[in-house]
Amino acid sequence: MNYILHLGTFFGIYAILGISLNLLVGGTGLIWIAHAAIFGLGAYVLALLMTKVALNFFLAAFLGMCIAGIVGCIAAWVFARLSGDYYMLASVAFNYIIVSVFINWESLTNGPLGISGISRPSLFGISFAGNESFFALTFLFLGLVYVSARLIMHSSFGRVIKAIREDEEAIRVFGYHTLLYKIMISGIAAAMAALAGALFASYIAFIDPSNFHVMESIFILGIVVVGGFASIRGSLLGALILVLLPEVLRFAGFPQDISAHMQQLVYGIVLILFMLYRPQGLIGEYKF
Amino acid sequence: MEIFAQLVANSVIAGATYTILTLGFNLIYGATRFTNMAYGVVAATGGYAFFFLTRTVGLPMIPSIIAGALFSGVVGVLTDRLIFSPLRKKNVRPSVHVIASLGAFVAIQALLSIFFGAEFWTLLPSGTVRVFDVAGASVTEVQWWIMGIAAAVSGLLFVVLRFTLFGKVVRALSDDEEVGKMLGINTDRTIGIVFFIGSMIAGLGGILVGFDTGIQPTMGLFILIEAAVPSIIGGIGNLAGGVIAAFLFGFVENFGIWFIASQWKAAIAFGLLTLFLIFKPEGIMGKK
Amino acid sequence: MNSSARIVLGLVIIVAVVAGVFAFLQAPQTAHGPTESPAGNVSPITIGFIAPLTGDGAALGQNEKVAVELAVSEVNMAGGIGGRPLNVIYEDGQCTGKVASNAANKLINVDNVPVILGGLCSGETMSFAAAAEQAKRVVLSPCSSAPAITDAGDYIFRDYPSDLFQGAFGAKYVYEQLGKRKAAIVYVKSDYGVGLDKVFREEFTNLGGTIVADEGYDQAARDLRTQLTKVKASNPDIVYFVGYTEGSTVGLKQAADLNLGVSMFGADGWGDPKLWTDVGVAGEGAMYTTVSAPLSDDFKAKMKEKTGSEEVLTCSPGAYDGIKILAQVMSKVGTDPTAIKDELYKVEYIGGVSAARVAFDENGDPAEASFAVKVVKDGKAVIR
Repeated sequence: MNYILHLGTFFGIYAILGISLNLLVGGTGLIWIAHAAIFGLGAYVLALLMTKVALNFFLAAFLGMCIAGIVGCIAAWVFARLSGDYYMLASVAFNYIIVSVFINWESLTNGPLGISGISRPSLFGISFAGNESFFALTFLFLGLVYVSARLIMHSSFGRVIKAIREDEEAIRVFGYHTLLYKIMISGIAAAMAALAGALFASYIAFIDPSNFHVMESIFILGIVVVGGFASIRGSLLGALILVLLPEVLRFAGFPQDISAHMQQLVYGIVLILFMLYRPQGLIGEYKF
Repeated sequence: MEIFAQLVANSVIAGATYTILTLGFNLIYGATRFTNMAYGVVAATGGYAFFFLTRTVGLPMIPSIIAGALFSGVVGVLTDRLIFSPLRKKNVRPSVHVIASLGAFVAIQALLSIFFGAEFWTLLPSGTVRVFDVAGASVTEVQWWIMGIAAAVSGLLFVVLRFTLFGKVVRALSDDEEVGKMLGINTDRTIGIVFFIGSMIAGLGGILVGFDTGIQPTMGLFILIEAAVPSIIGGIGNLAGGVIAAFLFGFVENFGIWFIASQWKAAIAFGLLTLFLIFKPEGIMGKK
Repeated sequence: MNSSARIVLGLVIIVAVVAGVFAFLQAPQTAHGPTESPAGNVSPITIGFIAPLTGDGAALGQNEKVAVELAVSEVNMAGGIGGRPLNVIYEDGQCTGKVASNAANKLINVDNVPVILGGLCSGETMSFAAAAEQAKRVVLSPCSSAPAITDAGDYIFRDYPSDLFQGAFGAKYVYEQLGKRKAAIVYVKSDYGVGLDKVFREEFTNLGGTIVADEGYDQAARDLRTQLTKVKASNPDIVYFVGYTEGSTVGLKQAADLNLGVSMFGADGWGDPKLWTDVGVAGEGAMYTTVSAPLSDDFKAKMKEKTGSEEVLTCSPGAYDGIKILAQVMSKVGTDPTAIKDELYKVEYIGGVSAARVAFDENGDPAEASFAVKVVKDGKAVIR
């Protein structure tokens, strides 16, 4: 049972990441390979606030979301003039720089040693230390993220975002300040990713920079690809498949020393097949 | 002044390596107009083919280098025939190509790990390499080779592109694919040949990187970055700009560390990239 | 949508569902901790193992796995643990926190093991120490040397000394035995390298020496020329070079290419013989600190039989002794993790291959540690 809870919690965390990235990628139509860095930012802010100043989880997570949101806005503002491949490469660069900061700002982040001893949340005497209650908390947050993402996409704000994706010039002609919309959606997506980071840090109780590399960003992008661009429900499905895939291969009994690579191989082939045969993802509405 | 000379030597050597990598990358980009994320790992297959031929089969050095480069060329063509050519026929957005190439990158990297193991190998036994003293800087025999090959490959490529019919076709393709089609060029076949030549150059670069340091399945990402950063700074698709930028990149990286602690090396590279993307996205020699 | 893609997707989903159901069926048995076996029980005792079997450190992990297999077969040959055979489930931690944490969760919750032997990398051990502590399962790491593991928890043990001791030993040796006064440090930016850098710097300065350069490099970096050029410019008497096999191979070669001309002094990360065959003459005369393990000829011969190599890698003796210690403890107190934990604090194991005497202090660290310095001669490391 505990194992199911563990996978369920991981699923919840990655579903939040997938949904938030989908707001950004599905919304703007630009490939963003730096979500792991934002995820890490949320995790680091939470870990530092909880271990160094003993702040409550919920307050620390909220502050992490604010900081990540601001960083997301700034990144969107700086990268706004880039399009297509350049935007993607800039995001890779951004991911590297953030991880570099995690590794090298030792006095703050403890460098490659990572931060350990991050505790589980508690609020008004209710503790979420047990695996069951933590799982429930994760799903509560996932539910909130899911509902707000759907609300955003179906609001007038969301419609403008979608219109920008289809034809930014046309929208600008109508007098919309498209940059502002892009900055706002990036901020929201980053704040959500930071929430996932906070949950991750508190759940694992230990974080180090290796969790937030570019490969992890590619993995999160895979959730969006498999699930479907601009489909919030699709991200749930994508997260489910990609979180379970390694476990499936673990049980499938590949020799231990190649099973990790088999995972990567299957993962790479899945990405290619989706692009070749189903670029809109499993239940996506929008062909990338 | 001895240190200054050594830093200059280090920069030139790095610049020469980046030149080779950038040329292949730029060539493919010019013809296909998307960032091929699999480029680096295709280069790595060349290094591994060389490794296999010399260590396991026992072939001599020069034939192994040629065969290794050819092997990369074949792998590159295979990625084109199996993935990118079908995508071109479907006329999808560049982002679909990029994500598919991401899948190819992950899958090929996994295959290398499965066949050769994840560990790091050096290609040259130590003690066989002679070291020369140039104005107080030490430069090894291998490094002379790298510089020589970089010069030869760039020279050859310029001649081919400038004076042959194939070169004219490729240049026409780089300028505008539609025009190429109208002129009756078989674009699919030409792109296939470009993939072969570009990947062969990549494989050569992979082997030389392997000579200089060593090979590892994960080397692909670094090669990709070392190829992509100069091509963007030089103006993507612009071969001459790429060569100049490769050396600029080598100098900034090596002298940057002289002033800043060396662990920030990756951050320096990406910071430079980001600055160029934002302030001069058309590159140092690009047309506005 | 193309039919072949549909088939692939269908397969992925089916396999996912099957695995989910499978995991669910496994799960109910694990609701409570491991139960004490009734007398006469001959069912196997299962423990977990986590080490990098792929990726960084895989060479160390694979060699460690062989040592564990050897120890297990010896325990079982001698009648097992109170008549019950010992069984080990091997998981790959990839030297990465997230992967190791997943593996540990599976071992604890699905396989319900009372003990995990591992991880190898400190990052692995740290990532699941808290979870193991919470689930009250014993962790015995044969190789994690990060100082933070000392305080990781009551259930967390290691039979490998903290870097604090090794770094201090190295600094003292360089200052007193080798008589060097100006040292430059080149270190890998990992938990391991950073820990040793800090301790060495402090200890060497305290002794009266000067650190003339202190340069880190990214664990994935393969071009250390600029760092080494800076080191050369600082004109040191000796270079303290902390790295794993990969980075050290290129670093030592590049140091030779740059004519650094001073001796290189490393730490136990240089215990991989592949390093010295790869660097060749560039490694001649290099020295490094290592935990002095009284490897018996018998153990070496048995390892050679399985690996085909003369060399026993750094983590293997500790893992071999770890299995023997755990077998001894479990024969005495059974498989209840808390009882195992309590007994481990009291254990005294003599005649091992990792140390003459293994005992744990109140933090679960080795009560004593002795180091030696090896020097590389003709491509082989020998005790200096």
